[in-house]
Amino acid sequence: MEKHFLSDFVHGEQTFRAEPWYNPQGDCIVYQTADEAIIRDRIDETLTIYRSAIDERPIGFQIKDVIAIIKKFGLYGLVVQSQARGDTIKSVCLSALLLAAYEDGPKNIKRRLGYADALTPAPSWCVPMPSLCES
Amino acid sequence: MRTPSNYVCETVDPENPGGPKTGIVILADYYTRLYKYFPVQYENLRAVRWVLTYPERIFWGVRVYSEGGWCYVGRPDEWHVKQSVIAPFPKHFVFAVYVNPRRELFEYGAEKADPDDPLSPVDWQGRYGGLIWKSTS
Repeated sequence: MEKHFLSDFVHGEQTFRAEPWYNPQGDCIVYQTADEAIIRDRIDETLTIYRSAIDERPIGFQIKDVIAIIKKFGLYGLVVQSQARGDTIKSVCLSALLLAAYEDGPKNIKRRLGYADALTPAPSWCVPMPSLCES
Repeated sequence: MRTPSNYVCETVDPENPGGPKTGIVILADYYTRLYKYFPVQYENLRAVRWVLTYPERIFWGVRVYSEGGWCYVGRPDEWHVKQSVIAPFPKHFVFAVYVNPRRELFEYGAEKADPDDPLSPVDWQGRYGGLIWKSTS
């Protein structure tokens, strides 16, 4: 196997972490439950389900345009448990964000099944947001 | 061991495809996170670099609410399906690499290919602003 082109820049233990995280470069929340290659299954403009490249079972999801969703629906119900400080978002509730995104589109079976896949592994995670993300 | 720094992949400039190549940045924070917590995704940065080096299609308008950004599409020969397991990249799929308007990598993975154009993601006409470049080779 050819040496990884980034191997000189990384070191230390590798431990898979099945926790959602906010990716500021993509303004998206990413949640992956298995350390396997991803097949991206786009459900709609907001949700993409990650399927395992081994057996196509759902292994996570990506929620896109997080800031836009928060701006559209407001802080109430999304930024929960009083983790908003001033106008700086500290964390968002993943399941509430998914439900808001679902509300924002047409009702059809593909979306219903896709959001069900996303909500199944999505517990009531609160996802920390970088302090630069202002409402 | 060197201090992590942003890595730049040379590729077709989406705003001037016939001109000089441009750089797409893989941020150090991003690949360090992948290395630590998502080892398979880290390994598949090899496929990202391959697609940026040998793109087949470039699409613009990858988001509804955010302007800008591009999707580079290609087909690597192989990829990591789980840790230490390398497999041929599957038929009827493409590898999509998403780049934001600042030309930073933010997402990638396999997607089903369009039955009418096996080098484009399925339903690309309804998902993106449009096709801006395709390989002629």
